[in-house]
Amino acid sequence: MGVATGKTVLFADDEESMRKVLERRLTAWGCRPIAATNSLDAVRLARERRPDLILLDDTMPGLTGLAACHQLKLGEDTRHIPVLVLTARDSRTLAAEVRTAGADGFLQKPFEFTELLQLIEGALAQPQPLRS
Amino acid sequence: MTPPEKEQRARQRRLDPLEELRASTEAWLSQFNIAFALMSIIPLLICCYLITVKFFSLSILAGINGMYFLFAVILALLGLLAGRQVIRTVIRRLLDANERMDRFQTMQSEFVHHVAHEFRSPLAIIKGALDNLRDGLYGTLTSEQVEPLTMSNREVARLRRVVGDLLDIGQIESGKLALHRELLVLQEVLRDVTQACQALSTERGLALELQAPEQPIRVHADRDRLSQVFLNLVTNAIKFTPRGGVQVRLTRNGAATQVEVADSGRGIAREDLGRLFVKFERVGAGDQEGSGLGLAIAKAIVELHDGRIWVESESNRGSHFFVRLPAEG
Repeated sequence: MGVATGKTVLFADDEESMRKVLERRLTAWGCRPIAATNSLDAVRLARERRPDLILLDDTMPGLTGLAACHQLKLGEDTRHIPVLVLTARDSRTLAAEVRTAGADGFLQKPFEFTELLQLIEGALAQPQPLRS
Repeated sequence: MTPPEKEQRARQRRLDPLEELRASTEAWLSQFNIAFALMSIIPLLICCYLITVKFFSLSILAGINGMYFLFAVILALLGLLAGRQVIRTVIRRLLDANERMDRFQTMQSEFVHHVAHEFRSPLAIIKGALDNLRDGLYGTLTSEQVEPLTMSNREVARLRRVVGDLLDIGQIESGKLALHRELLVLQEVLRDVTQACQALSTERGLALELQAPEQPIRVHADRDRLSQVFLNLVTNAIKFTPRGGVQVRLTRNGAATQVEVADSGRGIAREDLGRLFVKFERVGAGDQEGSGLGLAIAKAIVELHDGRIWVESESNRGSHFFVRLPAEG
């Protein structure tokens, strides 16, 4: 039983196939997945359902994943939730942007699931800022 | 942008031959303007002198045939003006053509960059789905199903490498490859690289050996990029060596540090040596997979580190690749 078992994980990706792949994997890890099809949906669901962790695709139409992350980190009721960003962009140039947006980590697509699990467990184990 | 990045951009700008041509032409044109002004001032003075002082003195005009002289001076001035205009136009056209080429090259690199990114998202889906299959998330697989799955996984890994190489070459050509330098111990970098290649060399029945002095050798370099260079050289050496072994040797000679990757493989023909570091040239690759970009990328990375990369080889006598980098402290 890992740290991720039993945790609610909200994930957002505009590609249906990616959502299916992630949902299957998160379920196999014992998480309770919630799928969002875009960033706005993700921000709304995060406020309503208060998940334990959020996974955001960076390049979604409309609001980008990073912008959504920024909004979540500004929101009083969502700032404590760890956010991980999945990106198809070059990770080396992205590091600074990810830090500015307040994300707790990022992973470049395509990735190994072992890397993702490590990142998720690391983020869940980190003490998060308290809800004010 | 951090100061080292700024410095790097400035160096790249200085090295850009187009920028250099543009700057030297501008300098030349301004010098030409001064020369033109100086050259025109003497005939102009003569003209003024003739018109204002001597014009009405018929004896002078008749004596030196003043009208012809004036005509010649005006013609000379017009000739100079026209010549200057022609030269200016030719240079401007050349510069425009160069600029268009430059823009085209940037567009090409941006296109490669965009396409490579577009590949990553579908690759992530394919890889994710295949990994889910492999790990039995859609039910247990029969032994017959495992083989095509392993094959597909291997090809996805290959595509991933090609996309990575394309992105690197795109960044190199647009001058956007930024180094994240830190103080590194070369022994550690080479140890990681040889360890990462151990499985491949064992699989091929080759001995992979690292020879390095105990005293740490430090370089101010980008760890990931330098590892990429050595990983490329060592995997190439393994791929092109049917029997024997691959040695990685680290030495320090004064202010320079040198890494040599030597193999007992089939070597490289003399006529192919020049093409080795050129992109998309797959010298003697035969059935070996690869994008034909690895060595071109390695060369660019080493040169960004103010280093040098070269090869010494002969057919059937193995190859020796050398990387020389400035050492720290």
